[in-house]
Amino acid sequence: MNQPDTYVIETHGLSKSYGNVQALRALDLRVRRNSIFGFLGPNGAGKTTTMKLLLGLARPTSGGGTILGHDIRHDSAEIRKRVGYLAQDPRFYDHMTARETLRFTARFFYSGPAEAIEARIEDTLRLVGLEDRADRPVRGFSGGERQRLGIAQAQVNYPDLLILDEPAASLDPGGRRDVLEVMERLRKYTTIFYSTHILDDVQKVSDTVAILNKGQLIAQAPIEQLLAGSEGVVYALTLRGDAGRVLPVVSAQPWVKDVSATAAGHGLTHWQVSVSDEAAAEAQLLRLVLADESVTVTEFGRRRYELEDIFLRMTEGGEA
Amino acid sequence: MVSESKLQRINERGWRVGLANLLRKENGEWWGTRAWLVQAVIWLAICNGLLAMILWVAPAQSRQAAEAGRAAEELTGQQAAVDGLEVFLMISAMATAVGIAIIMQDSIMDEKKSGTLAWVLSKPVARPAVIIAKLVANSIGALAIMILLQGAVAFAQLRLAGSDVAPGPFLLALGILGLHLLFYLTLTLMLGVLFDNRGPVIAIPLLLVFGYQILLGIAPGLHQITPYGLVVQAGPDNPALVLLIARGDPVPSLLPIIATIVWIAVFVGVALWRFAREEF
Repeated sequence: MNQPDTYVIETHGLSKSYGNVQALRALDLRVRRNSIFGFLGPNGAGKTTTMKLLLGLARPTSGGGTILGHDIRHDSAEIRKRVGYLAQDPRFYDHMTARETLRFTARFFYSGPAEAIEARIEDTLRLVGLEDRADRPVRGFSGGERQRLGIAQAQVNYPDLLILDEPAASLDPGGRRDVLEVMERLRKYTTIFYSTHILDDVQKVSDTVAILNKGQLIAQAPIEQLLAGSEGVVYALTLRGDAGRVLPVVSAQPWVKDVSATAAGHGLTHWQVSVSDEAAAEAQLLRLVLADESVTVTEFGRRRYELEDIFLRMTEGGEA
Repeated sequence: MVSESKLQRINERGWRVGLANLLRKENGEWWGTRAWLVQAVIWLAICNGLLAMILWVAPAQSRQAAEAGRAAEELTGQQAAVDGLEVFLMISAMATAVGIAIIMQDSIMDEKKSGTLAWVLSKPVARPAVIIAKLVANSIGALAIMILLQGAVAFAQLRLAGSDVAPGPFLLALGILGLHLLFYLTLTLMLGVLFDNRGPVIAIPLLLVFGYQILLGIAPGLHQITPYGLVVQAGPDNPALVLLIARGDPVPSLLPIIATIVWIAVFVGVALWRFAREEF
């Protein structure tokens, strides 16, 4: 699986400065084929800059990369033949209708027959739910409709890679749900590389995540791995009774790395048990504690981090 | 999803990538709506309206004045045709230069500001294709409506008024007007690429059009190496080159024509070079 062609995007030391401002610092990114890759970061982190560099809309100051095996510095037009792009604030010709916009876009990729192109346009309009607004000028579109048209024009060539810059940022909850549904539908056809700062959305649809902060990549991992945290597997327990008696027994287990205990009042104690062997912990931890009849367990479970915890800890200087 | 089998992928390479589609779109902006009709009527009023006044209204008024004893000399149709030709050529040159600068100022600028240019460039489009499409489509539209159509109507008017202007020389004079228009078209296109705000893009061409007397006063040599030599008379007894050509008179120097062609090539070259380095 680690053959080079499994990566749709690969960058090596990709950097961009605007005068004295370092917008992107030595980015090493790898996006696996057929993944939905969430590119996270606070505003101004360098997400849009990265996307523009990948598409040839801006030139790297140093470093480089490939998309679908093509060099981003020299094969930009070839890359754009196989990529669909939605800008953060998509702009189209206001006088054109949605259908005309898609026809104009499709003709960059395909020549006749006209009926086949029209069928593709119809198909794409259906995909994003714009069939009933297809012949209205874009100038009258709402933010959500414009965004859906943005996804449609990015998808009209059935790209091998979709690059979406904040696809749901300006939308109301209904519009966001629609966009995420469209992304889910496209998952089986293409790779999606999208930027966002809406962490809820990332947790819902992404399988891999990278976090960018101040132009620097600070994490890149499958989302499950990121959510597990860097402490490894941690179990959380809430005990009632004399937790101090059972603590040495648990701490003595070879698969227990650390136990952190905090009093929670009303005779309750919280434990965070960090373990090195997940299977052993799953089989034995609760039994060991319950073997001591002086304590009862009111809560037990594997600790899961929310992406927001990870993101805030990383972007505010800590490490997950 | 619809299969790819019926669709033919475009496999262009180099500077032509995306050119056909962009040309279709840019031509559509001239010819796909009623814009061409509006333009045609406007230019008809400006160029041929004034000519009609000189050819048909002025002699009639002069005749009435002479009959009433208010004028010593009557303006004949023949004299009106001579004046009309000169006025048509001068007014067409000035007005079309201003008009094309106004039309072209938005061509790149608006698209840069609105973000549509960045959108288009995210598709398989070679950057030279963007400039070439705008250049070709706007040149065709402007030359057809502002020069050829007006020239045809003006020629018909002049002949009806008794002018002896010959079709060949008149067509050559229209070519000179076209060259003059292309100078301002390419200049504005280049300025649109170079600048990010509208001020210099419109101000520089208008300054050149209206400030010719000042500029030629400072540097008389500009008459030979700029398009001023095409449409501005060098002195009281030296008519403008375009008028000499229209009358079929001998031309003292071809340098203004050559210089204008060189300027146009430079403007296009700079626009292509700069646009290739533009970041969005």
